Amino acid sequence: MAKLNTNGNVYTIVYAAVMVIIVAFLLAFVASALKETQDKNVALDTKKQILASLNIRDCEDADAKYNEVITSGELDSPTLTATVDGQEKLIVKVKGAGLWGGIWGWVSINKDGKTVFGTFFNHESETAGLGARIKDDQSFQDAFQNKQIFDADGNVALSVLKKGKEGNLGQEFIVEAVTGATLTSNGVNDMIQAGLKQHADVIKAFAGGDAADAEAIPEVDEYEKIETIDKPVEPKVEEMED
Amino acid sequence: MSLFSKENGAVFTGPINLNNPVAVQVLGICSALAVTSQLKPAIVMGLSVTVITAFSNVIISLLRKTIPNRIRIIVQLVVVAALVTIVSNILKAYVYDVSVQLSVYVGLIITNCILMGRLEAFAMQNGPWESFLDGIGNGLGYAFVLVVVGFIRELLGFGSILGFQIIPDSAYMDNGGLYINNGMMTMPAMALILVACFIWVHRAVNKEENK
Repeated sequence: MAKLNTNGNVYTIVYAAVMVIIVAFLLAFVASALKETQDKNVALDTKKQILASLNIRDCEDADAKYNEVITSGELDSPTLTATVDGQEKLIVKVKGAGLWGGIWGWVSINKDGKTVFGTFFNHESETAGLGARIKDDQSFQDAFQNKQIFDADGNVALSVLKKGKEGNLGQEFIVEAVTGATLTSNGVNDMIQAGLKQHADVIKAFAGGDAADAEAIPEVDEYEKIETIDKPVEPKVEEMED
Repeated sequence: MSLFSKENGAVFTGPINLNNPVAVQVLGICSALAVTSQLKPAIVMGLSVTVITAFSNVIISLLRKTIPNRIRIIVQLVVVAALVTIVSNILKAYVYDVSVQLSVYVGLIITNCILMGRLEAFAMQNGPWESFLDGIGNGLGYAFVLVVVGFIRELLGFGSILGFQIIPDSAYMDNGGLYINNGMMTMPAMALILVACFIWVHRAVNKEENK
């Protein structure tokens, strides 16, 4: 076989074109072949996250448990209702900005409309071992349990604060920030305050009447409102997590 | 040449010790800083890099005689990027938990200097089998450094190993003990210092061979 001139212009261009086409088809094929399985995984994972906010973790069959517990709302609804051990709970989805990317989570609230039943937080790309602990460290999420959401005036007072920054705020409103991840913790703080404030009406309706009232608020509008809370993420490079 | 000849053995073991990609070639430092604050991501990252280096080495080695010289870096980059994308898709479909854990790190693999370094320096001149061994060897050499650094940082920075608390709770200041975690260890700068210490020890031990 004659030796190809691998340095010629035509050869180079054809080679590049063929390579790109092959890789494009390959990637498109892999992506579409696996999409269905991936989507299922994502849905299942979301269900697990919502269940985790109800303090149901590590259950064998998350699908079945989810269907059993959740009484209204879809996976992407801003609020859902659930019944755990015969008690009604309201689950509020919250979204915000961490240090490096988006963070989100679910806060479940007792029937009294005042105390937190459980929480779960997740993140896009917080630093492993530091900011990522809002998700990995269950004790951070558990610290929210039984905390009070509203102060005497009905404003959202639940806060994530560093030790020593409490001011006059009572302990029943304060969750201690993740050590070494101040900016991510501030993100969680802003996220839950904004999210709960946004849904204060739904929470009050939930506490005041039955679950149907909570559903009466148009969900689509609420969801769009949350989106506007998302601030553009500006990575603060000079401000490393301390 | 037999598959397990002495030369091939050297190709495989060289990068694990005497020609370690991090300690001697000083490649892949950036990701070594980013993922070693705890042991588990360090291990996962080390294994992923090993697999991807090995297979991209093989692919480039098979193509090496057809690759136009002027666009060889682009070809290498496309192969690595395609491989990483496919691996991340497969992880997402079949081991979702692992893929969630890896999220950022999969992307980081593409930028790992060890991959491009090995493709350019080894796979472009050698056969597929040697390239495969070279990829595995370099990956493991990288993984070894990550595990050492991750072990020290997690132990001193969080008092735990792989998430299990090693230092008893009662020893902490908060609970009336005398011990306090070294917050410095959780910061990237400390990884740099630890890698430097690793290189120091490595050079001191292998003084003869380096001469």
